[in-house]
Amino acid sequence: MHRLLVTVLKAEPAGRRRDPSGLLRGSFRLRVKVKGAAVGALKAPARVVGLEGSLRRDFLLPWAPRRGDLLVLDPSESRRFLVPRGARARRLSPTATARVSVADVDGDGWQEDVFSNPFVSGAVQPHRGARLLSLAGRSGADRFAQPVVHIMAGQYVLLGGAEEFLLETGMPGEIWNAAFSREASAAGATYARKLKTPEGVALTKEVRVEDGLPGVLEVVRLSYAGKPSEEGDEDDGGEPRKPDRTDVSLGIRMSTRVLGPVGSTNVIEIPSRGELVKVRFHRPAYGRRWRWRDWKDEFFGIGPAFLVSRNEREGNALAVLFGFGRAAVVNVRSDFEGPEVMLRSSRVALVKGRSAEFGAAFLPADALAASGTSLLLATLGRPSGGTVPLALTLRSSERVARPLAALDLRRGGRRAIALRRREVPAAGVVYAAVVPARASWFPLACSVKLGAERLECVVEG
Amino acid sequence: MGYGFQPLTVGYDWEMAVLKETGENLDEKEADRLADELRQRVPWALTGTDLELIESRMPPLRDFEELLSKSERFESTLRKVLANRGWSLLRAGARPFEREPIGAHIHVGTVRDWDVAARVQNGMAAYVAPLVALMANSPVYRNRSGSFKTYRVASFAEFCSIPQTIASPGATQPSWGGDVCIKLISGSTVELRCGDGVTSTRLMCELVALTAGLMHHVAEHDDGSPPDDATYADMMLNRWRAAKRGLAAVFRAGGSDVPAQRMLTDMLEVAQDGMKRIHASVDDLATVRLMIAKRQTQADFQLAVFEVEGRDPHRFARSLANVQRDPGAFERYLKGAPALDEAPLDDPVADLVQGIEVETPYTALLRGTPFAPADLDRVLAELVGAGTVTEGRTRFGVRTYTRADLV
Repeated sequence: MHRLLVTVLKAEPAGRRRDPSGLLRGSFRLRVKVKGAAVGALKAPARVVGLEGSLRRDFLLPWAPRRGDLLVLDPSESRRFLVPRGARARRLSPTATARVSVADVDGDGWQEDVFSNPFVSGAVQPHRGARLLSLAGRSGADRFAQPVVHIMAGQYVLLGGAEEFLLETGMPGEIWNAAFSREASAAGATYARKLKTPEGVALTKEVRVEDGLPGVLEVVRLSYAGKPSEEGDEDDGGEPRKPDRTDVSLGIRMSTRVLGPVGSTNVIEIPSRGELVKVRFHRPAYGRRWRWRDWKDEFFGIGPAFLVSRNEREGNALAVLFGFGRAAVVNVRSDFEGPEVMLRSSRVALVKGRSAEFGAAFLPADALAASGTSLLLATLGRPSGGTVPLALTLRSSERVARPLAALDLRRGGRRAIALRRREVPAAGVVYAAVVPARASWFPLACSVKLGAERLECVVEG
Repeated sequence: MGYGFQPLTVGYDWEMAVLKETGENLDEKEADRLADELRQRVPWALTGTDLELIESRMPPLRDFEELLSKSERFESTLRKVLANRGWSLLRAGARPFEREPIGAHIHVGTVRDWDVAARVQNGMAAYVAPLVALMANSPVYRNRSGSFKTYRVASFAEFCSIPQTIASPGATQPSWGGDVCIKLISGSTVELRCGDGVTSTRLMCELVALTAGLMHHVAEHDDGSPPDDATYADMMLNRWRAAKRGLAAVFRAGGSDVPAQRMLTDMLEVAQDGMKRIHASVDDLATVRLMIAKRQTQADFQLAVFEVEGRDPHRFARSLANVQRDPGAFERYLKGAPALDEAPLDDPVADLVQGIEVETPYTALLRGTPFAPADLDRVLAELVGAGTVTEGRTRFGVRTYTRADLV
C-alpha cells in the first residue's frame, strides 16, 4: 500500500506494440529519482529520498514520458526502494513467550514493533500515531483491515488498524500520522507525544502482551501540564483563577476485518442497555458526499464496555474490550473491506498536573480458542444484563472517585464474583459479570468452567 | 404551447480537479486561493469552487464561437497558473482514489416561466440516458473500477444528480439535484446535471451546443406530458445501461432494443434547429460525431490509461494528469482508437439479485437499482414469490431482503 513519488531523469524507448484493443503502447526504460511519499500526508523514510533507480514501464502513445515527469510507483515498485535488498517480509506469528521485536512488517521502509506471545501477534507503527496496525491470532489472519490507501479531503489517509483520536481536536486531528517517541521493554513498549492541541496535553500509550493472555493490551494516558502562561493564584483582575483544566474525549477508530465471501455476514455486536445490538455490515453500492461519515452511522449508549466484530458464517471474530463507556459510535463505512468502528469515551476534565487513563484490549477469537483460558471481564458501569466474553479491567483513574457500589477488587485480592450466564453468538455460552474496579487497570487471572455460577477470581499484584 | 427560451442562451458550471505533485487534490483553502487568482486574471469566467474543486462558470452566451473562444482562453490561463505552481489539471467525472464526483453542468436559458421550465425538464428526461452515455467519464472512482463507465451517474453523483422526477407545473416545488433541474430561483435556466466532468474544452462546448439544441427542440415540440409508467421504467433502465456501457449500450424503448448510437444520431438531427440559434451546426460537433461513430467515450480513454498503469488508482491518477497536459489528448485518442462493439444486454434482475445479501435493507437496493422505485417493488415481490429471496423487517420497520442461497 505504500507508494513513492519519483521524477523521471531519463526515458529510453524500448519497443512498441499494439495492445489487444488495438491501441499503441510504448515500452520505456526509465531512470528515476525518489522525491518522497506519493501521499503527502505520509512521510517516506529520509534514507530513500533522493535514491535513484531504474524501472521499465509501458505508456499509451503518443504520451511518452519526458524528463521531469512525475510518476507514482505502485507498492511492488516502491518496495525496491523502501526495503533493503535481500530483506524478507515478516509474517506475524505467535512466539513461545511474550516479547517485542522490531521488523518492517508492511514494507513501508519504517520499523514496526511486533508484539507476540503464544496466541497472538500484533504490529504497532510508532511513526503513524502508534496505531495497532495488524493483529493476528493463531490462524495468522489479520483481524484489522488494511485498506487500499484512500484519501479523504486531501488531508487524511485511511491506513487501517486501530488508531486513537481526540474528539476535541476535530477530525482527523494530529495523532493518526504523528511520529511517537518509543521506549521498549521485554514484552511491552511505551509511545509518547506532546500534542499541539489541546495545548499542554501529552499522550502516552503503553502496549503490551502477556504470556497467558490471548490479546494485545493498550493503555492510553492523557496528562495535562497546564497552560504555560498562567502564574499565581489570581487572574489580572485580582479574582481567584479558575482551575486550569482542559476537556478530552479519547476515541479509538478501527477497521475490523472478519470478512468472508459475503460482506453482510459480518456483524458487530454491542451490548447496549439491556440488549445485545447487532449491526450488520452492508457494503453499499456507492459512497456519499460527506467527509467523515459514510452512508450509515449507528450510535449506541453502550453498556458493558466491549464489542465483538465477527462473521456469522466463517466464525472469525475480534473482541474488543475498552475501559471507557457511555458512548460508542459504530460507523459502518462504504469504502473499507470491513466495518469501521469508532469508540468514543465520555468527556474527561483534566486538571493541571493530573492524568486520565483509558484502556483497551484486542482479542482475536482464534487466539482465545487456542489459549483455552477463560479470561474474564470487568467493565465500568452498573450491571446491565450485557455480557463480556472475557476479561480485563481497564479503568480510568479519573473515575475512581465515583461512588461505585459493589466489589472492591484490590491487587492481590481474591473474590468470588456472581456470574450471569448468557448466550453470546460470537463466543457461545459466556459467563459474565460487571465489576466496578478500583485500580487504574489490571488483569484478572480467572478460571471458569461451563455451567459455573461463581467465578474464583484472583487479582494479580 | 409557446416557445420558451427568450433568447436561447448557453453556459455551464464545469467542475475540475487540480492535483498536487502527488496526485492528491488541493484542499479547500488552496482551491479558494487558486479561484481568487483566476477571477483576477479572467474576470468574466466567474471562477469559483465547489468544496475543493475548481468550478469554471461561464455566464450566459448566445454564440457558439464565443463560447468556444472564451472557454479556450480560460483553459489557457488556468494551465499557465497551474504550471507556475507545479500543479496539474485533472478533468474527469471522478478522482480515482478521492471522494466526491465531478460534474459538468450545462445551463440553457433564458427561461422565466415555470410552466415552460417544467415542460423542458419533463421532455429532457428521455434524453438523459443517451447524454449520460455520451458524457461518461468516471470509470475509476474511490478505488473501484470495472462495473461502470460512469460511477458518478451510477452513484447518483453522491446525490448531486439523482434520477429525474417528472414535474407537474402546477404542483411542483423548486428542487435541486435531479438529472435535469429547473433553475428559476438562482437563475433563468434549465440545467443538465447528469454529465460527468469533461476532459476537453472542445468537447465541452460541443456538448453545450447539443444540449441547447435538444432543449430548444423540447420547448418547441413537447407538450410536457408526463411519460407513462412503462416509458419511465425504460428511462431508468437506460440510465443504468448508459452508466455501465457508455456509447456501447443498448437501450430499451417502446418494447424494442435501440442502440445508444442510433438514439444519439437521431438526437443530433432534432437538435439542429436549436443549435442554429447559437450559430452552431452538426458540423461543429466533430468530436461528438466521431465518438458516436466509434462508440468511444472519455471513459474508454481513461480505461486505456488505467490498463497501462496496471489498474493501480494512484499510478493512474498521476499518469492521467500527465496525459491531460495535452489539451487535445482526448481528440487525439479518439482518432486512433478502434470502434467498439455494441455491448451485450445486461440483465437488471440478475444485477439486483447479486446486490442482495443477508438482511439487505430496501434503501440500499433503492440506491443501486436499475429499476424505477415502483418497478423495484414489483420485481422484489416476484423474487420473494419465486423463493429467490426472503423478506424481513428491521426494528424500524424497514424492509430487508435476504438471498435464499445465503442462509
